[in-house]
Amino acid sequence: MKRKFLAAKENLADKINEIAKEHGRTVFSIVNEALGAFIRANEWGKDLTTIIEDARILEIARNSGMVLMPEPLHERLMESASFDSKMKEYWRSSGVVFGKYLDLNGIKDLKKVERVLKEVVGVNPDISISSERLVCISPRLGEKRSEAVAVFLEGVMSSMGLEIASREVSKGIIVLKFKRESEP
Amino acid sequence: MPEKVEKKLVVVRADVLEKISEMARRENKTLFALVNEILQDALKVSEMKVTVGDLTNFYRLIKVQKDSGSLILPLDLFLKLVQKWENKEELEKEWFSAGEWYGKYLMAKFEDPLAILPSLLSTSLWHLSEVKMEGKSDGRAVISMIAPNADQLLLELTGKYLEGVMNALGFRSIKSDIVRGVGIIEFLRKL
Repeated sequence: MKRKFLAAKENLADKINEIAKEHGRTVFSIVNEALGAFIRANEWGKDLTTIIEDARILEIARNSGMVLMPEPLHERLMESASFDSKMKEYWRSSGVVFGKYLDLNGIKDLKKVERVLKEVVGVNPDISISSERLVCISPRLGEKRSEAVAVFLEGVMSSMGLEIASREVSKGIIVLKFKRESEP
Repeated sequence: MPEKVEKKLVVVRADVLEKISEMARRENKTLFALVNEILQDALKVSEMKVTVGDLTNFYRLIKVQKDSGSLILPLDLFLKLVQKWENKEELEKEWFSAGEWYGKYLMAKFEDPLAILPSLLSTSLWHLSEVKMEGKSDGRAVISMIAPNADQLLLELTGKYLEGVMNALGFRSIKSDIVRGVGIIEFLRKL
């Protein structure tokens, strides 16, 4: 295998050297691994920074007690279960817990929360959050699942101190408006 | 006057360097700038106590899972829904056919689905602490699951799901032993 020299900032090279020592690896393997990951990310049409951020979100979801399940199974289970007040409370408290978990992981900024929710709510939802409202559009969500997701999102937002002033939920579309701080 | 940046030389594979140089040209960046960005990212990842290679691999496998239609859900809620279902046999059938569909998806997507399956299982079955798949020379395959804190019903259903996956990939289940927190399923290649 042919090798060549490459220039990097001294402080970065020194840190990589420290990590290599700490983990019993070589600087050569760490640098090649990083460059290789960048090349692969590019082949997937993504940049490495985005992949790292997305992977971190997925790690957070996994560590917060979430699971990956086939959508048809979830759909069937939702269809058969009654979405009563008890079930709503489960969804809401699950949202509250997830919101608290995000907070513990330093994810407080609404844009960051938006990014996390895009990754963990439904299939490729279009979510936008501002201090006034949250809009979630996901055409694949049925009526019952839209309601469940809405309640979950209410839980997440309330754990971040945003109280719900009004809500509009229909199949695949959720709009939550938040109370302004001055509002009673 | 701009601050002088101290540089150090590091050794890399020549083929990797060639690709990175090409990408730097395409992005209209200097090789030095691009390499520093990448190393900065690698350092950020190391703070998460993983390697950049592991993290990108994790991302790729979860992407396969999400592309196959998997959802991220709170486990406790999912369990509540599962426990509300009264007919266990019917539930098992649902899980088996969901697994079967996933197996067919893998066959359509990968040339050698059995090669990628072990990493996909260990990366995506978040409710299990450990899942391993081992191929035997006599045409058998064994999948073992460990999840000391998992709900027994969920573990059994996961077993059915895996039977469905393997069925689509040409294996039938010959023995399934799922006790509290541990499951071992043996498969034999279908003739």
